[in-house]
Amino acid sequence: MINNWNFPLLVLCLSFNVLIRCLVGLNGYSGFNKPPMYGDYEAQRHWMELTINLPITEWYRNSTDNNLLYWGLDYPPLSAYHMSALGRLSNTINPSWTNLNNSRGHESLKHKLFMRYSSLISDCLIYIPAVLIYQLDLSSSNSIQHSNKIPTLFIHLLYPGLILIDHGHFQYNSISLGFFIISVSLCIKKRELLSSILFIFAICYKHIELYHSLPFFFYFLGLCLKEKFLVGLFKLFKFAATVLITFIIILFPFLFKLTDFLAVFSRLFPVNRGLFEDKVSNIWCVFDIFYKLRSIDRGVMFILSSCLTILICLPSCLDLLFRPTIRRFLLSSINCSLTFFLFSFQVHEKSILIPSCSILLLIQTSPFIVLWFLFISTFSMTPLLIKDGLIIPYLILNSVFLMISIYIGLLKFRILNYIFDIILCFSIFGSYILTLLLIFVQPPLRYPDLWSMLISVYSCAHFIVFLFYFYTFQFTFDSLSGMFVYNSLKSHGGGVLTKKHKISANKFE
Amino acid sequence: MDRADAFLFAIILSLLKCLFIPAYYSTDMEVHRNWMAITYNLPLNQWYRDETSQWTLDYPPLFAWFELFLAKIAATIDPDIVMLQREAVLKFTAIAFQRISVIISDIIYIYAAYQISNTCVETSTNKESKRSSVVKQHTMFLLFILNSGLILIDHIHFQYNGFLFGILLISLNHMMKNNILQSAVWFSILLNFKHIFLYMAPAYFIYILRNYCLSNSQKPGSSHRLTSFIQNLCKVGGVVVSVFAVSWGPFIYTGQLYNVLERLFPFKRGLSHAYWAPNFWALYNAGDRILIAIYKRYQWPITLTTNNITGSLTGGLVQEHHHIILPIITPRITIFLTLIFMLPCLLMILRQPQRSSKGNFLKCVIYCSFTAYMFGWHVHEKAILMVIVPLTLFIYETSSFHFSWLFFMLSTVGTYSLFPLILTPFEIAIKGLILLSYSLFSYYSLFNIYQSTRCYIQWFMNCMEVIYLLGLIPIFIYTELLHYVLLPSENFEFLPLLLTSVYCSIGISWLWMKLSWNCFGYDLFIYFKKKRV
Repeated sequence: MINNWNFPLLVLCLSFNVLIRCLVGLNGYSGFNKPPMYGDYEAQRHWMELTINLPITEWYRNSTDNNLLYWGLDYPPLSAYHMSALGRLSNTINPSWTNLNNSRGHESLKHKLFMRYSSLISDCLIYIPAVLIYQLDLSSSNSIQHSNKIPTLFIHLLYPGLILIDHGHFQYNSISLGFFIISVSLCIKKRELLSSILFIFAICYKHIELYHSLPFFFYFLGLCLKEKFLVGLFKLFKFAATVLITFIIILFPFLFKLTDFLAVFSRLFPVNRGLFEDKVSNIWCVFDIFYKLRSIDRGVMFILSSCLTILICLPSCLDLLFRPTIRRFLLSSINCSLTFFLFSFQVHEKSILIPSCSILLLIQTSPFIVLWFLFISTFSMTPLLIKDGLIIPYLILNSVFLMISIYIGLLKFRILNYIFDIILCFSIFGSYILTLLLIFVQPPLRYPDLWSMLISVYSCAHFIVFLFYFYTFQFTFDSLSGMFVYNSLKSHGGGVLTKKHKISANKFE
Repeated sequence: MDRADAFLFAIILSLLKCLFIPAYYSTDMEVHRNWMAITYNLPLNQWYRDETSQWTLDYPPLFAWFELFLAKIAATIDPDIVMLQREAVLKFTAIAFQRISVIISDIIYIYAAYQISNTCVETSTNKESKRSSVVKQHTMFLLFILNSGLILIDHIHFQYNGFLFGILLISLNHMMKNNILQSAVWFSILLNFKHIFLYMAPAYFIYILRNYCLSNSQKPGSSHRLTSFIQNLCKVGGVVVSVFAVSWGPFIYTGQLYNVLERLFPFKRGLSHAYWAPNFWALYNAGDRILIAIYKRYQWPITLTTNNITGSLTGGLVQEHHHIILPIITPRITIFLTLIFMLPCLLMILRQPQRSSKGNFLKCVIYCSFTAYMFGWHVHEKAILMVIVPLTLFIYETSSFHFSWLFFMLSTVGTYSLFPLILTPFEIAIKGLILLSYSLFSYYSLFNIYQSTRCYIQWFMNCMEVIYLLGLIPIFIYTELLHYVLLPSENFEFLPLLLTSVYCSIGISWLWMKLSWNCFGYDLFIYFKKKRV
């Protein structure tokens, strides 16, 4: 797979990426020294505390020892098992870290070290290998040299958004995203059953992965429809059985009583929480500026937003259903997850990582638009990152990310030659201006959130354009058929494609 | 080399260096802050006399001026940074300011590295080889500016070495372009920033004496050999003395000459640092330890230099090290040994004809600083950088890949020997990854252009050296992790340091011998062989 001389380069690329993760880890985490609620870091620690001290069926239930209002467990069981394992480890190192009810808000240097290494190790064990497998083995046709894959791999791993959230803000997103990437790789390898198992893992680790569920569902269904009736039915049955058995195994402790199961379910889908949290760059948050959506009944909004989301996803999914190819599957996963981010109910700003993760899968073939999207996606989380004291690493990583892409030749500027380059420059320039405004300029007293609001609107506008672009791309790339040829022809103009790019031969079809 | 690429990379690197701002820093952070406070708050005649804080000013005068310059800027940002007081000021602004000042002053180093890698690898006119020479220039540039040891010392441990090495490279660059006077000026400026560069001074002195003052090429106009000698000597002497006069003058005038000298050359300190720098003396100390152990076991009938064995055994590693069985080493012995070992190399450039000697001069500079590192009195482990950085110039030595291999080995072992300086748990992973990345990068960029060697002895030696390098991995795991699990008692507190020091000193001594063979040993060998015939 890799020839001798590329091996040091490959290890170099990995070790540098791990180094960057460590360096980000030196900074603060969410809710550092902010009683009474602290932040996501405390949430993860609290879950470790809960899961090792309470019996398994009590995890999702309100009780005297488990006040659900204080960071109650609201992630699926696989995540809880992971926390339980880590909790046991932390308990052997220092029992005071997970002492029931007495360890709330525990903060110490050693504990930070433990948490940082735990997320680093889960990243190194799941996300990095997943990307490695995807980028080196699968994602490109034979025409692209191995040596060209390593820079792409490097940039793929260097995506600042995920690094900042996982190793700065503190969460374990790399696990569920890693599972997702592995399942996509398995799809490409035509191992659909295994792929569905891995995807269930991803959902059961973090249910926000449901953003990706529609493309998976329609892709597998489409594969079944392609077969003859009986064969297809048998295949469908196999899929259903696999998915069901995986779910049953993972949810096993909660299946003995209906109330246990419902407790999990109601924790995972809290309809009574708001339409969005803080400042999210999605449609509702932008809409909220002009018309106070929060005054509308939550139930109504929930139904409205869900219907809208499904409605927008549907064309992409139906296209996938009738023409199930990998390329369409990748595009549809982008479209659906981005639609979910823009239109669905209860979206966090961190949820942008889900569409980013599926867009990253296209980095080898259309680097220009992908890098642009990634830059804006990290930018959209600026207010959150500032709150966590991660502004310096954010600015550095996001700039370095673009610069390294230029340095290794993934992103090529030919200013005044392509209209897209100019637009990109303006877009980047605008984002920097907004960041600087947010840091240095006091907003007017009447609008204390003016700058973060502007950032939301700015990124939301970008995301809508990106959604539009990828949507049209899904329906038109057959006639253009140039998408996977970009890199080899060293052309990147996003939508600018000419007839000479028409080369249809592709491994994916 | 593509200037835009170099520029872009310099920006990327400088930005990445900013990620180290919240990292661990040593007491040197407070030392340098205190120097800012001294130079900012006190009149000139007190700079080298002040003892408010224990971190007294002990760098030469130009560095004090540099600190004053920084202090002027710092005072406008936050007056607390330049507060003169006994206790440390560990405010975030103070730390961030100093970290950023290192990053900005490093621009000199990056610029010098760019210049010298352009000079060192000649750009050929042939189109095909031009491309490869551009790649070589770029690689050398990257190897200079990414130097892992410098990053560990400057950006984590905290010191201002980057721009000092920048000045050294500027001086070497002038020397390679035959601008001997400029080179001498830059080198004397460097000496006035940090006197540790005296290690290299013999090489400079002899080379300038031979190739400038005693130059054979007589211009048609010049009359006499002796007159031209005196003329040139006056020129060089004039510029060097004037640099020193500007730097030292004010302090001599205010009567601090003795104070400055006392601060700069503290011979009262011990032979080895608390952590033994991995040089010859580390092996010597370790040998003494082993002999003591054998002595205690078998009760050898020998007279000891001290009667108090037990006392020095327990406290030995913390403070000064008293040798008990082996002879005690005095500063004079170390100076004598250093000069003896430098001599052959110095004689070589004294003998050499003028033309071919530029490469030899560089070798001699490297060899001299390496020898001083090996045998010097109270050598800091950081001094290994003074060998590694100039050695980067030899990675594309055309005749063989001895030097690039030497560079690869020395940069890895030498940087590893700096590890005990950075001891906080989160930085353990960082320092390991920095070294790993740099070694892989140098391995990748240096050896994918060379074919594997045919010579079996060479092959065998390289294999042994690779095994030695891989041995660093278990040592790393043991010293950083397993030791605290297996032997947590305080009796073995210094075992990791001892282990690192002795293991590195074996490798570094071997590389020193190899370097001396490559610098002059082989030539001597040929010379004597011819004589015998």
